[in-house]
Amino acid sequence: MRKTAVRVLLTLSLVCLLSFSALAAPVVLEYWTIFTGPDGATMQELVDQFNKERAGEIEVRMSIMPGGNFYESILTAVISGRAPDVAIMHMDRLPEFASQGILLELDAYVDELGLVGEDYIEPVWNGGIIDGKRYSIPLDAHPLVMYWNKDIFEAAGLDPEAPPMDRESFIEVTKLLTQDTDGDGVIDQWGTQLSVGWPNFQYWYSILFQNDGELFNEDNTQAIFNNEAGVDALQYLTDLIYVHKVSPANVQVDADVEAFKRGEVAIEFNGIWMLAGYQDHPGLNFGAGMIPQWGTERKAVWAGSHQFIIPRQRSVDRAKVNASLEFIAWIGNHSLEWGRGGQLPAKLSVLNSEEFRSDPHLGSIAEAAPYVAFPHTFFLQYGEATGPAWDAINKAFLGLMTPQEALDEAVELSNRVLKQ
Amino acid sequence: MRAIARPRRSLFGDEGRLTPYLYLLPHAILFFMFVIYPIFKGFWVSLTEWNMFFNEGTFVGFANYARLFNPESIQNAYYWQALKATLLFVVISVPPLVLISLGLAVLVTSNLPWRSFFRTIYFMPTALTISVVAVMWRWIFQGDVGFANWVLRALGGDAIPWLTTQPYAWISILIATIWWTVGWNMILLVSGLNAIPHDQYEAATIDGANSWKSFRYITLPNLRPILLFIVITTVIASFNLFGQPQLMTGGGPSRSTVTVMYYIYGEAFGNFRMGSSAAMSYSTAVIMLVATFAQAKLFSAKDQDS
Amino acid sequence: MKRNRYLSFSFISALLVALIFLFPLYWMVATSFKLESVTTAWPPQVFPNPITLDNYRTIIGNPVDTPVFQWFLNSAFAAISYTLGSIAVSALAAYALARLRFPGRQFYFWTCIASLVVPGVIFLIPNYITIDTLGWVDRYPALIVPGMATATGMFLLRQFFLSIPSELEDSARIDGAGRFRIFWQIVLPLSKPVVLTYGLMSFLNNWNDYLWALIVTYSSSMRTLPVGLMTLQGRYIHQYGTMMAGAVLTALPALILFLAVQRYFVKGIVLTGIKG
Repeated sequence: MRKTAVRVLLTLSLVCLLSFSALAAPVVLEYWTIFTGPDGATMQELVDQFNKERAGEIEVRMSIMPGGNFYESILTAVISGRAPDVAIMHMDRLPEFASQGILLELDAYVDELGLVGEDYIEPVWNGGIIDGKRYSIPLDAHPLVMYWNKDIFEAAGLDPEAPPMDRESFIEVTKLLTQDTDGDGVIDQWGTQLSVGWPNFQYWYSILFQNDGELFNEDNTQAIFNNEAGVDALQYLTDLIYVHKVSPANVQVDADVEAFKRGEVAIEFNGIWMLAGYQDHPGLNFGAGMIPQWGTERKAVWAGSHQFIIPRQRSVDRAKVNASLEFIAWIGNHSLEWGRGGQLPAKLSVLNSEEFRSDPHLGSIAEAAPYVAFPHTFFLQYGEATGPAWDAINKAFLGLMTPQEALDEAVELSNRVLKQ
Repeated sequence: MRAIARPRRSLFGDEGRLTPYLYLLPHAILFFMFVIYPIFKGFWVSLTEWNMFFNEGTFVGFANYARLFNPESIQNAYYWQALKATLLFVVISVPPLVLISLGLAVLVTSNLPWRSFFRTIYFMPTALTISVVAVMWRWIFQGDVGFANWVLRALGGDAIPWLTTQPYAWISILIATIWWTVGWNMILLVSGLNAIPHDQYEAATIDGANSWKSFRYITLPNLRPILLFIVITTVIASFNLFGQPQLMTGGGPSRSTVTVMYYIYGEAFGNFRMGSSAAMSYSTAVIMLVATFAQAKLFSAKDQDS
Repeated sequence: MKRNRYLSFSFISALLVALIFLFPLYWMVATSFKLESVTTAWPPQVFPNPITLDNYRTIIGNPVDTPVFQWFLNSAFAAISYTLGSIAVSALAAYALARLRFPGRQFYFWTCIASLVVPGVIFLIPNYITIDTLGWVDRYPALIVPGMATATGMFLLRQFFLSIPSELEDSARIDGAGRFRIFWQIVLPLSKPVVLTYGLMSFLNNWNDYLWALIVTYSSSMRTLPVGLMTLQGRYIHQYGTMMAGAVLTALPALILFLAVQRYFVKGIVLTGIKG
């Protein structure tokens, strides 16, 4: 009798203990991000803050993967049942992965969280919808940005707060600022540096859209970027190198970044994510803002967008999904800090807030928000189909082909991809 | 007297009928699973549109292979381009890899002081992994502040955009590859050189041969089998070039250093088209086999001449 | 006289070549000890001044993003398990093929040899699919098991076993020793040179493997050193000092092992008599 009683008591206490620990155990979320630069540190700080506020309830574990890795592994991870609970994906890759069926549909949850389209930059809000269903929640938009060295401007007698904003004045100013400053016969200060490789697609893309062009036709069955708009865009850029000679030929990827930091380049173009790197570089007195309107029709600028996604698991764990959504909402509400790390928050209330706008660089870059240009739709083969365009731009920059030839070849290859 | 019964052979134990198979079993199971089976499974995959998510394929016959020859497919453009790039690399890399290793092997087997020290140094790079080699050489060939351009400029020349233009991109990859792998061939040749009986050389010296003649008529013929082995394996290794272009040039400039392995990898794990990628790998395998046999034949034909 | 001149010429050439071979390693190490702002200085510093450990601190001190120690453990665990497993599996099979009589032994031997002709490119995808089916993706078995049964290992060990005079084993049999005991206590100990050679080959092959490890792992905690270094490139691509520090840490274990045992390795190659 006593033995049984003792046994029952022990079992009861064990059960109580276990259930308490289960109750007390926080929901652990695996969070995969692609922020390999200084923005990674910013996100980590936000995650740490979230974990502190929700200690004991939710714990977020963040992993950083280089973009290439992430996109290669997310599919395998989902297949092998070891997908993260929440992750960040670029907007242009969404259709690929949505079509593989590995993303959770979020329409219902978005309503629950009370998120509405009017609160967000329109194209990045709409970008989460594929075939009528929502698969992602926007975090930010990150445009191409013009950075200029204020000291070089002043030294040449130009207004350091007024960089050139159109086609002709850009050529004038960069010509003026391309100099041999120490008289040794070698140009050591360049008006600009256009890199052969990343992110030159974004320069060209911006001009294409400024010319009112598009990459693909309405139903994404034909590549059309070798039209006038595209060729004009590429011609303008290659002329900067070979005709106006305001940029060296053969700039290696990120050599322009290094040169800008050393104060050897007057105007440099790169993503908003470079902002922190430039801010941290001692002695660099620079401005940042919307890129010039090199094109003929309208203002436009390339941008990417980070979006939150929730991978579809073998079995839906409601607790984890809820925790992920809470995390996503929290980050959204703290996107000011995120933006300060070098992004444009997708939430308009944050983007247009006094605090954000008063930041000297971010406020100026935020002027670009209405002009972010996305293709009319992203689709499954977008990445593969734009690959040939990247190659074409490089070939033209290297002087191996004329812009028309290069883009013609790229369109032919791109059409092959689209035919699959 | 006890009747001597004929012992029945047992199944297990020392003379057991099944014992040898037990020894063989671990190797056989693994060998079957990861060497024999994949040869057939891979071919099967190449005949399907393979869905990674469900781990199954829809049969499409030879469509993946046909696509390689269809001038409207992207694979047709990129695969042959990759193959050409790979063949180019084979042609520019095999001669130096063989000749330099031969030269080094002769050097370290000669009457040189500290020769095992030198041998160790030349062999050491092979102990490194490709990512270390790529990081190291990418830094040396960096366009702005890399060491190679510093030397060039110090000598009065212009900086070369090593990794972003041809032919320098290939040259960079070639230099890194030679530095990394020449030691392996060298060691094989060293063992071959050490195995040549001395009396052959002595006899030749008595006959008045100089060092070049003894090299040509004694050393080389003795090394023939090893040289054949080395040439074949070096061709295969160059055909498999993957890490250097992926990590040093990213396949650039403009896909000019995308090799066949690189493209096959990208098609399977970047574009998720495993069926197509498998078809490419089998096509490449056929080409490599033909090349290997051709080399072996060429060498043996030469053998008969001499 | 001529001989001496020839000798010094050879020596000087050998020395020059050695310097060329050593320089990239030196440059990698030197850069790893430079301050990041100095790595891109022009003209480059030949010797780091000041010498700093910052880059190493960045790599080692960041266990979330760059768990270098974890990568090292993964590489070590995989390579050691692989080597032991490969030796065991190949030695057992080689013994059967060398000493035991049974139907199918020639067939098995020649099938293994024939497989060497098959180009490696075709194994990638089907083996990945097998690993996926077994649920081994991003787990240790994927790094250890697939390549374990090699034709080369079986061949090297079999050839060596054949060269051991059978009288040694016969006398042991007469004394009453069982097959396995003979294998374990006589044949294997005698085979130290070839086991060492093959063991080193296997260890380095597995330790340095890049492509397969890249394909079968994806989480940061499962990566091996070579692949980890590559992901480092995504993060620190312009921080050359940090990248070199990562490269040095990746290269160090293999180099140390290599320098410790390369003498035996070279001897072993000679012993196996790859003459053709």
